[in-house]
Amino acid sequence: MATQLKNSPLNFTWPEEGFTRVPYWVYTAPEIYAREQEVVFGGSAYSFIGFECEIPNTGDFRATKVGSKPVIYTRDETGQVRVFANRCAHRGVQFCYETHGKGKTEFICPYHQWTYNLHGETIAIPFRRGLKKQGGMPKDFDMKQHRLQELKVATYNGTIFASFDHGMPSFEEYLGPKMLHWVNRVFNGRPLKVLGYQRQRLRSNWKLMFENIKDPYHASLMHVFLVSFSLFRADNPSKVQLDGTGLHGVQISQRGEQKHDEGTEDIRQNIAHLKLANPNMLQPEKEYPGEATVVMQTIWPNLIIQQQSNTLAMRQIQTVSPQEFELHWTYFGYADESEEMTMKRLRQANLMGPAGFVSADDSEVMEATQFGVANYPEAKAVVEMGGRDFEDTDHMVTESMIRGFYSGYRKIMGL
Amino acid sequence: MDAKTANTKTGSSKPSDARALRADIYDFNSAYAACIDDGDIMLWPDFFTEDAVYKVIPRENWDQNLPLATIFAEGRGGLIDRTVAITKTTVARPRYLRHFISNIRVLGTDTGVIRAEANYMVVETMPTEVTRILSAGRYLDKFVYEGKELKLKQRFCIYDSEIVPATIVYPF
Repeated sequence: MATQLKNSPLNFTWPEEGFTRVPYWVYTAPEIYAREQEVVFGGSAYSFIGFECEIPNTGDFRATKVGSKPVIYTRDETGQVRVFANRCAHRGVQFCYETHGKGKTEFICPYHQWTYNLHGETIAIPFRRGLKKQGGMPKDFDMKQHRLQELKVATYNGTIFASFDHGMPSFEEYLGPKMLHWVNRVFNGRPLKVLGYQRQRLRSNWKLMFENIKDPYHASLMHVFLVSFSLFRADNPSKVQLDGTGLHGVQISQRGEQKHDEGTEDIRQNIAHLKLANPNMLQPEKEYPGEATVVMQTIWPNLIIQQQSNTLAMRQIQTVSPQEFELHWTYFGYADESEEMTMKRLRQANLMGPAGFVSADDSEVMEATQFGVANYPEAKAVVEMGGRDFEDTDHMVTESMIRGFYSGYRKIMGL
Repeated sequence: MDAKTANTKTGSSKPSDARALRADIYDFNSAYAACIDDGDIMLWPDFFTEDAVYKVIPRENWDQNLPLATIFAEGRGGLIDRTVAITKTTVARPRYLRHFISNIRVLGTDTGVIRAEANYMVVETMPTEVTRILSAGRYLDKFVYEGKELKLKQRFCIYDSEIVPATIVYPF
């Protein structure tokens, strides 16, 4: 199936304007979704998997997905992180039922008890030699040829990424120095700790999640809460950066004063007098060098690294179907931080997630976008704010990163 | 569990006391649900004490002792901020919620603080769509009497499914 797909042309024609337009069939067509599973999530990309601190010891494991493909990540007895498709080598059964666990020495498929070690090798097949000289596997059956599918793993300062392509370059090379600089800001080798998870399913195409974070234009308009408290405003010093492919990007901004002036007169709902009845919720503390207080980085093909004030989270995109995706949030801090700092993060988490003072706006508008585009495949989005190219900018009034994203996306998809 | 067994759990001397307390909590929860579902959300903080803590917590976090909540409101101020965000800043599509609160269990009373649990289910209706279950889980409550009125000192809403459908706008 996969091979056939790769060789068959997709019968879709991108609008002639190029990446300043996004045809609405990219959000709905089953053929597009199938191709994405193959060449995006199943292809030459490093998908975010999780954190090393989630699986500190041998045999600790967690389940996740790469695109729609279920995988588990675990740690073998040498300390190496391993990622396997959660699919028995025998008949494809989900062999790991639990979402997480500790100290496994082997994984046993519940169906016929095919057994795998922590390297993914098949170590036992019941009745392999038959029973009472009857049945069993053919004499030349080689267990070595039938093992768990393994992904190439890259660990980087406590984070885990993986790819179905074993020919991938290093993670550092994949990201490039410009993007790595911003990853290093949060992941500088300081030990991490997970504060918890939030997960939501959205009736929306997964690419709309990336578009949302690659779009600072909306952030200064729609997010009344952000703007009113000046956590993010069009007139705060800010910039946008992309890598050469356009696929990875970052928006960098800094908190300003709560005020009402030129920057907010276009924002109809700015509430300059808005005050928190419990100001504890929002008392950010500077923790990184430089002036930036918000850094939202999008890493192709499934990750947003969120640093808004002291709330840190990995937002992992998992696809469900052309018109549905899930967002899996892992909030974290540093293992050696003060209780006070952890409490700040937990309080500021109110901004984010399915009930977030800010993020709720986004989940609503992504579903509303899907509602709008789903039945108009012949129509297209116009993405010309800030020009018709994609480049770094020293302002937020731009859709540059969306254009960059679709430039890279089209090349990978052959569209 | 019959009233007698429940009674031994609460440590109350008379079966009628346990029943009366459960009835008070039942009435409280009914009023609480009506406030969110059909009433004025700005009055929701009035169900809580001044120092109350309200959290909506994914069960996986609770079970793994991970401190992150999906909603974390501290004190009446935190609850008021949530209602202000709902009514003034959040840009969400119109919807109705309906709470179903049942299986009230009083676990015990310590120095005037009543510990109780209940199951809850919240269904959500976008007016042009079919009604769906938004959340199912349990409340871990701490009540106190302020005069004759019950108030929540703590309500933790621990939801079972790891996956929330889209957006949580109103409280559970």
